[in-house]
Amino acid sequence: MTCNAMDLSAYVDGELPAEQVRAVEAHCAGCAACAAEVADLRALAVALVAAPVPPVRPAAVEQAVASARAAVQRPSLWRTLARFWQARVSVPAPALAFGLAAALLIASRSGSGFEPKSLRVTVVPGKRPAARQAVYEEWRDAGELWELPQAVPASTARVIYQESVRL
Amino acid sequence: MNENDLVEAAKRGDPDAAEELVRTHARRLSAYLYRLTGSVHDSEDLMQETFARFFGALDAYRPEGHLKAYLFRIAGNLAANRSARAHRRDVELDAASQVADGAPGPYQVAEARDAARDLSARLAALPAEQREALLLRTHEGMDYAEIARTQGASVSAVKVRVFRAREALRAEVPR
Repeated sequence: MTCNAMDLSAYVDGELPAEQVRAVEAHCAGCAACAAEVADLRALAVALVAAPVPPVRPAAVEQAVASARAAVQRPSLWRTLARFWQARVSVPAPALAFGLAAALLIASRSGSGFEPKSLRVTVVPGKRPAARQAVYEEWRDAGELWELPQAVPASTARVIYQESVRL
Repeated sequence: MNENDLVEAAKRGDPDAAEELVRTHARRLSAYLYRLTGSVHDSEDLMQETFARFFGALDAYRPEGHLKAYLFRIAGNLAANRSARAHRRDVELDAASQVADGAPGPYQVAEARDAARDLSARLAALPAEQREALLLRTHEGMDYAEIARTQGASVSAVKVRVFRAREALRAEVPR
């Protein structure tokens, strides 16, 4: 083996296969320069780890925790659609596709990306089977029903509601 | 409950699962971000931003057992987008002045203080991808394959980055 600084770096990291490890060690036994380089690389690792890092403030962690807890409890477009599916609400596939496309179009036009907070569907009052009424009430109470922005015609809202939700 | 289970629970809206994920990774993420930015304020701010990005796009995340690499990748990208040079020097000097008292190792204490100061400056001057690769190796104990996943690079590229980072830093370490 000839002197190879990059292999020595990988050797210190334990990233060489066993055969190459043996070759490096045999080489270093007879090469003072490479043996010194390995020692330097190990010293560098120790020096890096010894550099101080101030502990993160508990308040910063608590703030991250609070934000995360709130984030996962916010209604999500995809999560809500998944719950529609899991709840076995009757939604014809073509109608669902249309409704989703319309909802995404409205979301993008409203300049809000796909943030569900600003993507709400106006629910048109009507007669619903009891099972769907229960689901509707659960989602309504959880704030997961969408309402369209006022700029969107009510007819569009009705289409999305009727075609993609059908509660 | 393993980490993938926690992610799935968080996707279903479980706030306790989200909290556990944050508490598991917040400290190490902050330390990593501090080493990248040299600023306590930026490291905490970016740690929070990392989780905000992660949970904001949680539905799109597919757990494959590499959550740590995924979070560190977000953190690295955020840090790269923020210039912390104005804060870096002051904080480094303050921190370096406190290191010698508790720093163990084979080096003399007085030399360690000066070396830490110089080493931090040299580390800050490295190209971002080299600095990240070296820190993920030395501080997070990631192997080259895991660093490659984190950086979105090949293993051979990581090997070169770690090597070049060390070459640039070695002159700063007392022998």
